[in-house]
Amino acid sequence: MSAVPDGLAAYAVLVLAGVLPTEMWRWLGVIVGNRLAVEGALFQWVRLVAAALVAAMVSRMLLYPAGTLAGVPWTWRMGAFLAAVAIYLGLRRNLAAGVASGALILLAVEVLRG
Amino acid sequence: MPRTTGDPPSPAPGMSVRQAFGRGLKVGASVPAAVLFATALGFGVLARDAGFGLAQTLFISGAVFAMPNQVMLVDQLSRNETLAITALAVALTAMRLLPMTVTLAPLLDRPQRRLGVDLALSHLVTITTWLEGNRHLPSLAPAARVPFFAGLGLMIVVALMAGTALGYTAAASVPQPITTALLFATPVYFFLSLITTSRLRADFIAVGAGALLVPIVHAMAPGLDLLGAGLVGGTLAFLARRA
Repeated sequence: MSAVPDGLAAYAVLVLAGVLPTEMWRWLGVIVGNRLAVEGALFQWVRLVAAALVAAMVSRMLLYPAGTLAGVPWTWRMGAFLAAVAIYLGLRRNLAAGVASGALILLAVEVLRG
Repeated sequence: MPRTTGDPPSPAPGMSVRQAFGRGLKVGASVPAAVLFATALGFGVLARDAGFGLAQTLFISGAVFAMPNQVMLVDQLSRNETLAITALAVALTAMRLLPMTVTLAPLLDRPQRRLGVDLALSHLVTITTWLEGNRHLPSLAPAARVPFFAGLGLMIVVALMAGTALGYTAAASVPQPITTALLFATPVYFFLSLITTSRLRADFIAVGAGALLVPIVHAMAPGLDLLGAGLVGGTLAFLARRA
């Protein structure tokens, strides 16, 4: 499976689809600087859309995974995910404990499934 | 203290440019680098699973240098999304870098600013360096801030690329269940990070709506699930701010 073409064409794709769409905001931030009202409504919307988009990306990766994760039944993916969230909240929002326990639960599931 | 012409720029009483750079390296090498290293491991595994080469994967880590955007780029391309749709999704995810760069800029202000230096420094702006920069820069003398931030950013770049390389190469040799568990850790990490950084009710609505709208939009128009859920979810949260 190959997500991108070979050679220089691949780097052209990565630059156009990934590097420039990211870097342009940093450059714009330098150039327009404090002429922008970053506390304003526009940037509140920006922040919320970015958060929702990353949440949507997570949701899609878990519900409709593109690669190897698709081989894990979705009930186990969701079960391990919900357990990770519960452990995170139960341990007073411990991020490392939540992520580690989620991964360990999935590891156990995969070992037991063979 | 007024500076006479011809004096070398002195970063702080008792702190040279090199020392400030070193302090940035040191701050970067503690907890932030460890966290980023761990997430970069997951990214390396993900990129390999998605069919990218090692050099391509390292290029993404170095040149994009913003983890949510990197995962978005790799995930979109592995689903054979078009270049334009992928670029749009990455750009919308990356918009948050604009206010971050703008708010960090005053802390790195100095008498003679050069655009090239500022643009190069801006590449180092990412969530981790922004948080650490805001925490440490205000207490430093103005002249120590740019070398400090350069050191901090460089350490984070190194940690990110080392983690990426290790994750990518390890994915080939560790047993399959471990690879699968590492692949799973990345979305879990992002989701819990989103909850951790949420402060206002609108933040929680954005995260919840973004996640829950995916299966709904997917059932109606599979190709629009990501952008549809992100734009609608974020806009709903925005409208609910004062409701």
